[in-house]
Amino acid sequence: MCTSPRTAAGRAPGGLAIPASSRPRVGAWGRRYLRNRAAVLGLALTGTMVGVALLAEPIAPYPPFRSVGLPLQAPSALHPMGTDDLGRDVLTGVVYGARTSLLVGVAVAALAGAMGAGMGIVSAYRGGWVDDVLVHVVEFFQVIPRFFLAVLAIALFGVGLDKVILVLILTSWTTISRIVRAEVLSLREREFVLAARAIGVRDRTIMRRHILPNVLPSLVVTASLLVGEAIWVEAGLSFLGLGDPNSMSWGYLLDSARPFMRVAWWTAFFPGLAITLTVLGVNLVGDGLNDAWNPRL
Amino acid sequence: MVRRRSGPGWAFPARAPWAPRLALYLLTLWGMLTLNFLLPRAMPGDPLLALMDPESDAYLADPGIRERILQYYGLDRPLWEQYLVYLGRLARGELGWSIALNTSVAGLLAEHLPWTLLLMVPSILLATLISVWAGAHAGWRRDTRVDRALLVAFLLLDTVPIFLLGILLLMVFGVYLGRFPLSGGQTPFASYASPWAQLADILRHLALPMATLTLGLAGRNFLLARNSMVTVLGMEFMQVARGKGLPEPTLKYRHGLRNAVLPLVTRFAMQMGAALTGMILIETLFAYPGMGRLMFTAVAARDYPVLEGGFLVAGVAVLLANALADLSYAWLDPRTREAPCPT
Repeated sequence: MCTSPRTAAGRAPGGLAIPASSRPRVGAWGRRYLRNRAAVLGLALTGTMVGVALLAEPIAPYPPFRSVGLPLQAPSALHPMGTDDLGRDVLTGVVYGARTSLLVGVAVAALAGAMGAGMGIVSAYRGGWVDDVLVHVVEFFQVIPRFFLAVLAIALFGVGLDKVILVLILTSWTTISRIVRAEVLSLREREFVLAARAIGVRDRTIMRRHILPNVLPSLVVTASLLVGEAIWVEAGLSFLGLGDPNSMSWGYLLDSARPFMRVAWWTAFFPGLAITLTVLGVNLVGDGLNDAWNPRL
Repeated sequence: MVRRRSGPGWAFPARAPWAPRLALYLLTLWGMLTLNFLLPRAMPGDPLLALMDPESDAYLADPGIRERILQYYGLDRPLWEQYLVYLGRLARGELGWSIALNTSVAGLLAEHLPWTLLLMVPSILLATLISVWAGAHAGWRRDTRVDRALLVAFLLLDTVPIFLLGILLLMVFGVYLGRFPLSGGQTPFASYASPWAQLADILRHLALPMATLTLGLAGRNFLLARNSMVTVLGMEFMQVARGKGLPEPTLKYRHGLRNAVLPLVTRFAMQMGAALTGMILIETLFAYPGMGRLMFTAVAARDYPVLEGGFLVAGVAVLLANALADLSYAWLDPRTREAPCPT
């Protein structure tokens, strides 16, 4: 069914016209996005965190992991977020932690997004046994307790940021491919795809030029929600002592603050606030993109 | 026709009749068992390998002892034979032997599981109730001040990491107000005057972890419940019902909520995964004597058999939750009973 018959004259003319309605119009949804106050707030939060992560060295007042003052000092002009039990500056930890958290979040979302989109498009467009296998693989990962698997894998293979990212990609690409697949199933039968097929455009080109741009909105929305999820899991793993000991992270800060919470609330409060604001920001951006592209709800 | 957007709330495969469905569950279970078997064997830096490696310090010079150790752990046999032995052991309920605690893993799990169930089951039920009711109410009063306030509150609940929520509750109610014990499942070495006193003690210890888990989970389903309610409210039968002049509560609960709940049922299984994650973190924070705490101590001691057993129990729990959601879906929505629904 999917092999397109090619007539002698069936060469695709250059500059194939996608119907105007199916082409995403950047200006229109950009305006819709900016009209949404929550989405703008999300963008501001996320932007700030990205800026902090990129400019960690000039922003952070002290080097990370270094003892720079008396232990457990309350917030002051010298240490705006206080110091922890080893006399390390909490603000510095929070700033460098942004780097770790965002790296994990973005890497997982981008790679899982690419993998999920590829698998979803191919399996839905081609159908057949590829699709059957994918459906079952997705179902499988859907029921696997992700955090348990991550804990087990990290405990077995040793700590490290790369391993955290890898486990998260392997367990989250299926969420994306599931949504992409559902979209492609309906796109596959649309007129512009049938038209492209009728004039003999190759399957690969159809998938890239006609299908991919149309699933992009849902892809970006789902992937952006993954960012928050990944940040969450990384913090949770670090909280259990399974984080990368060489990179400062918010979960690590919270974990090391645990025994001193009763005497020094600031050691736990600020890293926790950073996680909350970042995840909130990223999720608001995701919801905002969704509303801008899909203004029905 | 309304073109239904395929969001995360909708079930992915067409609802199949029960036999293939059961086969799928068995397949998934088998996949999980296999993963559990393969993961430790793919582990780098196997402690036993060091004993066999002539380069390492721990090298066993005596070939007889080497032989016996390999034999004891079954490592002299090919992988597929080890796999069969592993499956056979599982079938007999043997989950292995804890390295750190020197007892059987099955026994450990049996000891800790009731505590976890005591924490999880009420929390999940309560969280579902709260989020569905609040979400439906927000959807019903869409775009009013109540809706916006609920939206902000639940969005915040959803983004605050569950361990931070726990820390906050612990600080406020445990430390500053001193109302609840800070950790544990019951007072150690206490002798109780009556079983009621013991129950009261256990409940007092349960309060904070349960509140944390409930609040942490409540945020997750609120948005879905709200959107589901909004979708239902836009449907034609709602207009018909309104046109008939039915009273508001009947409209809201009988016609609206009952239909809005459907997509939430499929979410129940995913809820389970989130609850398990929350459980590990919360039990660690409150030193609560359940499965999560067991996992945490096993992580610290690199006690692999316990971790594997815990993973298996969690996996089976999620699988059961899935099956339950499936069954109740068929029971709640008669349309899915006869034939696989067209997509």
